[in-house]
Amino acid sequence: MNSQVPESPLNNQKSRWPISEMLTRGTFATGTAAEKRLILRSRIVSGVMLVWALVGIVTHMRPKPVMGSITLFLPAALGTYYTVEKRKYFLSLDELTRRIELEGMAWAYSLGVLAALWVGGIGYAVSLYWPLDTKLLSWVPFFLFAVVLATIKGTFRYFATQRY
Amino acid sequence: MKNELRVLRAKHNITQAELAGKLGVSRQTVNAIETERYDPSLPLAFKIAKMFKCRIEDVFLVPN
Repeated sequence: MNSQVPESPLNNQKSRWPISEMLTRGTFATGTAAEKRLILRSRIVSGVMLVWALVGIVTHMRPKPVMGSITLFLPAALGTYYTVEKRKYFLSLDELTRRIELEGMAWAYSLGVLAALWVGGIGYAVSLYWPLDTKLLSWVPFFLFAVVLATIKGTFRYFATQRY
Repeated sequence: MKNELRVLRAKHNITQAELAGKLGVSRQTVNAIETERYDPSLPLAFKIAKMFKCRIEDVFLVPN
């Protein structure tokens, strides 16, 4: 992992995990080719999503069937494109970082299921009194998977690295 | 697990980053092993012992 501080055999006592990269990109700043490819892909994915959002604003999502279909499938397609590289990056990690990443996945899964149960229960209870807009409901999976799980995993990654 | 990694590294005059590069792991992993917050896998432990040309029990001390 990259380090800006000059080292000698005895002055290096701290772990100095790359906190900003871990929390923003979800990487460990290993500087490997796999990581560079992953960062490139994440930029491409973000760029395409941004461009598509702008296209949607400019065209007012018309013609609706075409634009709607693309909007529905684009995140999944881009997610697949990103995840293929993420898997390669995961396999390139060394044993400690891989362990941290695996523990993060386990916690994200466990707490994600728990969050889904709570959101589902609360959502159902709320819908009994105030019928929810179906458009709003369609965003729940995105919210759960992209926001809740990613945040849990990122947070765990940070706290786990503080143990080592 | 207690270990002599820091001592061995100092004797051979190599930094954590250099050792990590030779072992194919991150510098943080070497640091975590040295500070006894992480026990390496058996293959990595053997790799470390081989690097310093000593036995595995000379690097990692068996607890009583």
